[in-house]
Amino acid sequence: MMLKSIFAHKNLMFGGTIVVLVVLMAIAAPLLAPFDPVFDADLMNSEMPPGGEFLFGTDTNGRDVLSRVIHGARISLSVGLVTQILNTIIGVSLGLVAGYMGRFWDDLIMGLTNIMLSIPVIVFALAIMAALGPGLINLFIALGLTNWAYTCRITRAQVLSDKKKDYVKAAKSLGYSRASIMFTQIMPNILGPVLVIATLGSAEAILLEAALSFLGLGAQPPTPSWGGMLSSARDLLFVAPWLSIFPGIAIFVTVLGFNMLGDGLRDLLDPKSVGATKLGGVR
Amino acid sequence: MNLNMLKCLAFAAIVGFAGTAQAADSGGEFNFVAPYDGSILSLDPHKTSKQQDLLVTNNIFRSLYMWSAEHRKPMLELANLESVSDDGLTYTYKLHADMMFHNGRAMKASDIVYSYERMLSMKPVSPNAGHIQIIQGAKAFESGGADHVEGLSVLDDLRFSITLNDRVDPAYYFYRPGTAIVPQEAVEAAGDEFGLSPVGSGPFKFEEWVKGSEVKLSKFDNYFEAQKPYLDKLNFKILQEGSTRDIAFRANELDAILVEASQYPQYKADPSYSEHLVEVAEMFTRLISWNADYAPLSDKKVRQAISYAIDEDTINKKFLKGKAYNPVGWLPSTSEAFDANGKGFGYDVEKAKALMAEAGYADGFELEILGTANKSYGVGVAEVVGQYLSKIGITVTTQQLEGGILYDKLVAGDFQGIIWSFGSGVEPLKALKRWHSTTANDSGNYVKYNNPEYDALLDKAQNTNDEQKRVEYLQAADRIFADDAAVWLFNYNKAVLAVQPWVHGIEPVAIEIMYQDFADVWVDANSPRAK
Amino acid sequence: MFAFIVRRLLQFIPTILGISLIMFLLLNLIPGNAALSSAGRLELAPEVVEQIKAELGLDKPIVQRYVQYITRLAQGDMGQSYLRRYDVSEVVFSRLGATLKLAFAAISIALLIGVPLGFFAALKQGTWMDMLLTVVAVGGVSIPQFWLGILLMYFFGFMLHLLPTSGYGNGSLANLVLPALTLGLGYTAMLARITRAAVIEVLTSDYVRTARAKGLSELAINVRHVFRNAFVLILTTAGLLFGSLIGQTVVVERLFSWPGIGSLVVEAIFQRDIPVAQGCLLVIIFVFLTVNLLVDILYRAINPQIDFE
Repeated sequence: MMLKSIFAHKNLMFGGTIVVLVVLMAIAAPLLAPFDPVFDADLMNSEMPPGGEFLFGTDTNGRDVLSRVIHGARISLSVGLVTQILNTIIGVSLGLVAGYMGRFWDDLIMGLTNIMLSIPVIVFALAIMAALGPGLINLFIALGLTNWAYTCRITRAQVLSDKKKDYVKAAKSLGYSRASIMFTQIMPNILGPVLVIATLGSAEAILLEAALSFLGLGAQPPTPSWGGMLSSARDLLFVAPWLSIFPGIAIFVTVLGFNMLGDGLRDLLDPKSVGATKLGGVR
Repeated sequence: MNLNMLKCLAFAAIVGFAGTAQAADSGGEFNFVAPYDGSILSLDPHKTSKQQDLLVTNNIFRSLYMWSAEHRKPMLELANLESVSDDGLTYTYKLHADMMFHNGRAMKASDIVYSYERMLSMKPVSPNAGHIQIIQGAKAFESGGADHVEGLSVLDDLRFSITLNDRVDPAYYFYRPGTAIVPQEAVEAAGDEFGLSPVGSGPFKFEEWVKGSEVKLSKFDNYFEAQKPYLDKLNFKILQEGSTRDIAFRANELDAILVEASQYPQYKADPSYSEHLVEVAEMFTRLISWNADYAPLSDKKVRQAISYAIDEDTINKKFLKGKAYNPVGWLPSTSEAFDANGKGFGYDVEKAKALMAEAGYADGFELEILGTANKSYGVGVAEVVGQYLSKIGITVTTQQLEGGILYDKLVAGDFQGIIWSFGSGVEPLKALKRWHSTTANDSGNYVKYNNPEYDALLDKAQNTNDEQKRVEYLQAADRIFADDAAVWLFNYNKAVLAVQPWVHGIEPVAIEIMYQDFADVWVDANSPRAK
Repeated sequence: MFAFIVRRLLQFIPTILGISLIMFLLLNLIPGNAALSSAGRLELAPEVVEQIKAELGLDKPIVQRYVQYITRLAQGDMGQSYLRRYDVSEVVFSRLGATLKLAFAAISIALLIGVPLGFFAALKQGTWMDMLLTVVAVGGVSIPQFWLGILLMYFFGFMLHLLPTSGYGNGSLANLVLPALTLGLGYTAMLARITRAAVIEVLTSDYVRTARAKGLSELAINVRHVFRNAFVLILTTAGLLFGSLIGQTVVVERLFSWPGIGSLVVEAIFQRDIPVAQGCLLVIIFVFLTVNLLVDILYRAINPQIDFE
C-alpha cells in the first residue's frame, strides 16, 4: 500500500510537472517566442533547417517553427481546457438530474448517454465540424458537446449511491431544495472522479484535434495548432523533418503529461476504480 | 521561364515518343494510382463526373473522340468523319469496322445513339449531360417532349449523323470520358449495377473492384488497334494521401504516381527519378476571383495594385516549389492561342502603393479571401497572398470552406475574394467566353466581368475563318482581360507524374494528366512486374 | 438470462432511432449537398445541378425526407447512395469486412503484447521496470496516430522493405500488419494499464494472501489464481474495446488506404452522401451494441451474481 501511494505520487509529480511547464509556456508565449507565429513570415526563408536565427527551423511560409510551437501551447491547452469544461458541465448537470430526479428524466438522459457512447466521438465531431466549418471556436463546440457521457454516467452512479446516505436524507428533512442538495451536498463528492476524467479527457481532446486536422477539419490555418502543424507537415516528413518532429514531440509530451497526471490523480483520489479505466481514449 | 516551360514540354514529349520509337514489350502488370478524393464511386462513365472515376473508365470505355497528347486537341477515336453539312451543323460519321465490346459484340451506330440518349434520360440526369445538350432536340428529349433526340440518326450499321444546335466543333464535347459509348444489352442486363461491373470497348476489360482499395483491369484481346494494349494487367490503387503515395512509389510498389508540390523538389533533385518526370501545363488557371460589388475591388487601380503587390513568381517557386507556371493571361501555355510574348504584372510594391493612393485607398482596407484546404490553390496560398498585401495596407483574413460550399458562394456572388482553379481549356474561344458579358454570372463569369472591347474581340474571333487572325483576336482579348485584373492570375497548374525508369508511353495529357491512355503504355524487362 | 437478452435487444431500437435522428438532422444541416459535390473539379452547369438536386429529392423538406428514410429503413432498405447511384447496403457491406479484420488484428496485437506487459509490470510493482513499462504504456496512448503510421510505413515499408507500405493487397496478412500495429499500439498500452491494475487488485486480495500462507509457490499462485481472476476483467475489457474500435479506424484507414467503413464514413460526410454516411453509422453502432451485449452475456455467465442495473 505504501509503495502504491508513492508510485501514485510519482505519476502525479511527473505528469503535473509537465502540465505546469506547458501552462507556463503558454502564458509566457509572447515573451518566450523570438518571432510572431503568424505575421513574421517571409517566403525567402522558406523551409530553413534548424540552426542559426531559427532554432527549430522554418516552415514552408517561412515562419519560425519554435515560435509556432511555443504559441501552439496556448491552442492545445485551450482545446483541452475549454472542451473539458464544456464536457464536465454537461455531463455533471445531466448526471445529477438523471440520478436525483429519476424516472422519466433518468430514462431520457440515460437513453441519450447510451446514444452518445455508441457514436464514435471522432465521427460525431467530424460531422459537427463539417456543419460548422473548420476553426478553433467550432472545434471547442464539436469536442465540447460530444464527450460527456462518461462524466454523466459516473455522476449519476454516485448520486444514486449518495441518495441513500444519511447526509442527503438529513438535508432533505431540513427542507433544502432539490437543487441545493444536488449542487451543495452531492456535487463535492463527485469532484474526484470527474477531475480524473477531465484530465484524461484533455489528453484525448488534444489528440482529437490532431486527428481532425489530419482529416482537414481542425483549427484553421494560420492558427499555430500543433495538430495542424503536424498534419500539414506530413508530406514533408522526409524533406523537412523538423516540421513534424517539434510539434510531434510537443503533442506527445503534453498528452503524456495529462495522461500521467490523470492516472496519478485517480490513484490518489479514487483508488477503488483503478480497474475501470475509461475506454475509447485512443486516436 | 517560358523557355524552360517549352523545354519541359519538349522533354515530356520525348518521353512520350520513346514508347513508339522503341519496339514495345508486351506483357507485364502496371500499378497506377487513383490519387484524388478517396473511393471510386462508380465505373459507369455516365453516372459520375469525378476525375477519380473517369481516369479508370477512360481505359475501359472509349468515347467518339479522344484527347491526343501529341496533337494537343481531341481527335476522332471510334469513327471517321465522312462529311459535314454546308451549314456546319450536321456531322456524318462512319464507325471503324470490327470494333468489339468486351462482351464480344461488334459496336454499331445505334450504340452511339443509345449512349447519348441514355445520358439524357437517366434519373437523376447524368452529370455529364451538359456535353450532349449541344445536339439538336436533346433538351426536348430530356424533358420528355420527344421519343428520340431529333439530331441523332442511325444511317446504317456503321454510319450515323449528329446535328448540332450551333456551329461548334463537336470534338470538344464528345471527347469527354464521361460521354463514353456503352453497349445497350449489357447496361440493361446489369441495371443499376452496371457501374459495378462495366462493359466497354476500351483496351482493358474490367476484372475486379475491391471497393475503397483498387480496381483491377486486364488486357482486352480483341481491342481494335493491332497489338495493343501491351500490358496484361492494369491496376488503379486508391491512394489519396500524398505521403502514402510517395513512400509506396519509392518502395517500387507503384509504376507511376501523381506528384504533390511538396514532394516535387525531391524528385527533381533525385537523379534516379529526375529524368522520368512527365510534366505538363494542365488547362487549369489558378486565380483569385474578385467581387466587383465590394467597393474597393470595383476600382481597376486597386485590382492592379494587388496584382503588382503580390510576387507570384516567388510564391510559385517557393511555396509551390516550382510546380506551377507563371501566368501571362487567362489561357494556359498549352492552349493554341497562348500568347508566348505576354507578360504578367510582375512584382512592384512602389507602383502598387502609388496605385492604391491614386484610388484613394492609401490606408488600405480589409479583405476576406475564401478557399478550400487544397494545398496548391487553397487558403494556404491566400495566407501567403495576405503576407504580401499587408505591405500595401490591405488586411487579409482567410476562411477555409469545402469545395461545394465555396461553389455555392461563388455562384451567389457572396464573397470578396475566392481562390480557386478554373478550367481554361480546351478550345481557346470557349475558354475566353467565360468572361464575355453575355455569359451568365452564375455559370462561369462569376466576377461579372464586362468590357465591350473584350466582347468585340471575341465576337470577331468567332466570325472569322482566318485561323491566324482568330488567334490574334483571342490573344488581344486575353491581354485586355489580364490588364483589367478582374481576377488575380496566380498560375497554370504544372501537373507532374513521376514514372519508374522501366515505364514507357506515359504522356503529358494537358486536359488532366491522370487521363492516361494505357493502350500505348508498356513496361520493359526491368520492371519487377514484367512478364 | 433470456429475459435479459430480450430486454437489451429491445433497447437497441430507441438507441438506433435516436442516433439516426440526430445524425440525419446534423448531416442535413451541413451546408452544401451531394449534387454540388458530384461536380468535383469540373464546373457543372447550374441547371444540371438543380436537376440532380430535384431528382434526388434534396429540395423536399427535411421532415418529409426523414420520415421517408425511416419508413424505408424499417423495411430493411437503407436507400441509394446519392453519388454512386446504387444501394447503400452494397456500398457499406462491401467495406465492413476490412474494418472488422483490422479491428480484430489490432485487438489481438493489444492482447498479445499488452497483457503480458501489464502482468509483468504488476508483478514487479513499484520497481524501475514497472515505472518504465508504465511510461511506455502511457506513451503509447499519447502519440498522434497518423504520425505513428507514417513513421512505421517509412521504416518497415521503405527503409527495410519488409512489408507493403499501404493498401489492402487482396487481403493478404502482410498488408494488415502496419495498419493493425498503428491502430493497436494505443490499445496495447491501454490493455497493459488495465491488466496491471487488475492483477495488482487480485494480488492484494484476501485469497491470494491465503494461498501464499498455505505455502503455494509464487508461480502456482500466479497461474492458478491471479491470472484466472484478472482474465475475466481483461477479456471483457478487450471485448468492449473491440466494439468501440470499429468506429476508431477512421484515421488509420485513410492513411493506409484501407478499404474499410471508417474511411467510407469520412468520405460520405465530405461528399454529403447522406444515405451512405447514415448507413455506415448504423452498421458501426449495431456492431458496437452487439459486441457490448455479447460481452455482458459472457460476463454474466461467468459471474452470475453481478447486478446489472
